[in-house]
Amino acid sequence: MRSFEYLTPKTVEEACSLLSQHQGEAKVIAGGQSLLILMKQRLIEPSYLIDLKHLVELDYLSFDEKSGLKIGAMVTHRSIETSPIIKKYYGVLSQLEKTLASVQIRNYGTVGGNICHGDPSSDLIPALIVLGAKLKLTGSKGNRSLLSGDFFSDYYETVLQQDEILTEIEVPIMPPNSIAVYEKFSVRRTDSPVVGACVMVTFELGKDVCKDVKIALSAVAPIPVRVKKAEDIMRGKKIEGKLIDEVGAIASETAKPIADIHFSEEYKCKMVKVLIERLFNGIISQGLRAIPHQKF
Amino acid sequence: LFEDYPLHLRESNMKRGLRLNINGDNFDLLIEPKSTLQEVLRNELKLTGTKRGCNSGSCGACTVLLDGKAVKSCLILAAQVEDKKITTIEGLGKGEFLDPIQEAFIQTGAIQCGFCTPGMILTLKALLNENPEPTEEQVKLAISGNLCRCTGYVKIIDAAIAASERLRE
Repeated sequence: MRSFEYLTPKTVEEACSLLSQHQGEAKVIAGGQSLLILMKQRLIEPSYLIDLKHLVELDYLSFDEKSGLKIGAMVTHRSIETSPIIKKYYGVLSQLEKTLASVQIRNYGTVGGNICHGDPSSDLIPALIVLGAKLKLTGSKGNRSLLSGDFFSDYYETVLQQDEILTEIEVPIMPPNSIAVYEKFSVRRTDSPVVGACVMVTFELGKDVCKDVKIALSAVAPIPVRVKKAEDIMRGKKIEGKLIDEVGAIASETAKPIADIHFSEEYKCKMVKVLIERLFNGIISQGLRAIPHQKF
Repeated sequence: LFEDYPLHLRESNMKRGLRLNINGDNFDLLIEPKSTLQEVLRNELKLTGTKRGCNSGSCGACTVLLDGKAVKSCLILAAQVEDKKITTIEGLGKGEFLDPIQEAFIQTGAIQCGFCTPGMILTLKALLNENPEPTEEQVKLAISGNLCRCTGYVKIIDAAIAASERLRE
């Protein structure tokens, strides 16, 4: 690893001004669970490392039943995994965090760092996309907010400007009669996904008819992708075998993965269909009972 | 290669003062900001119980406890953990008395070459502190970030269950 100057701003404002001052030469570190690997490999060689891990103002979880959940960017994965509020209202986040890397990584790695790393092979981001989460970015010129799906631009690249910091993740309340589930295929259970899929289904009140659905895939393209074509054909229909088969096929066609040392493109595309089928079959086999806090 | 690199940083020996609390003792050190906690533990403090395996967060051999939570010391800069309580394998047990998890490893025969053992034991220490009665499945998930290349997982899991039973007595 090449040497760098280690800077510890005390506020977000100070961090943004340091980023402005050292544009192009500085890198932000949060938990560093991905960044330090890239620095050891000399793929990234910042002259200044700006540490946000100690910014207490970014380490918070807040929730209310109207505005939903707010996650400070420095919240660790482990805090998400073990939060009773998140388990109650956003079960999918607790579920996916259990196998998002090893417990050691979850104890130190942050949600904000994970998002800004821009790894298309992410457990978390497909869930944020189907939940409609917004990301709040703070820069030296002020704040802006965008949908999590619009944040990524390419492999490990995001729309974050050089003086900007991701400060908060805002997750709206799930619509009534909804369920969200994540499924991944990986080598070790806690490895990053070879292929991952997350779906959120909103049922018609008291029926097994799909009122709305969102489907997002990870690790099959340069950025996490929605499968809108499949979502469109599901709305207003009863979720059953033939429809699931069709949706799986569309998702599989949408996937444009690259082969790696373990798995070919073709295999990964087939696994997309398998995951989609597992997810929807799981949801319908549990039926409406699976929905937490259902009000029928 | 170093043309666009600030002059004052071209020297690799730019060091900073740092106080670390390890196994209850404070250590004042002069280290480079790029030193990982794992490097400081082994190279500066000669606490060689913490192993350097993959050096990229995959193998778990460098696991230590940070305020009681298991972390991988190769993926944390020493500069980031000032004011935190660090526990290494040397800090477990007291004098001649081993920690019940260490004893369970010995009695179960959960060691072959021993390289993964400190990381395994500290990961399980954190698990049992949080969850005194883990199922076999929970133990497996907890150690999924720790590799054992002697394929000794079965006995390690047995040791974890035995230790949890002893700790509950």
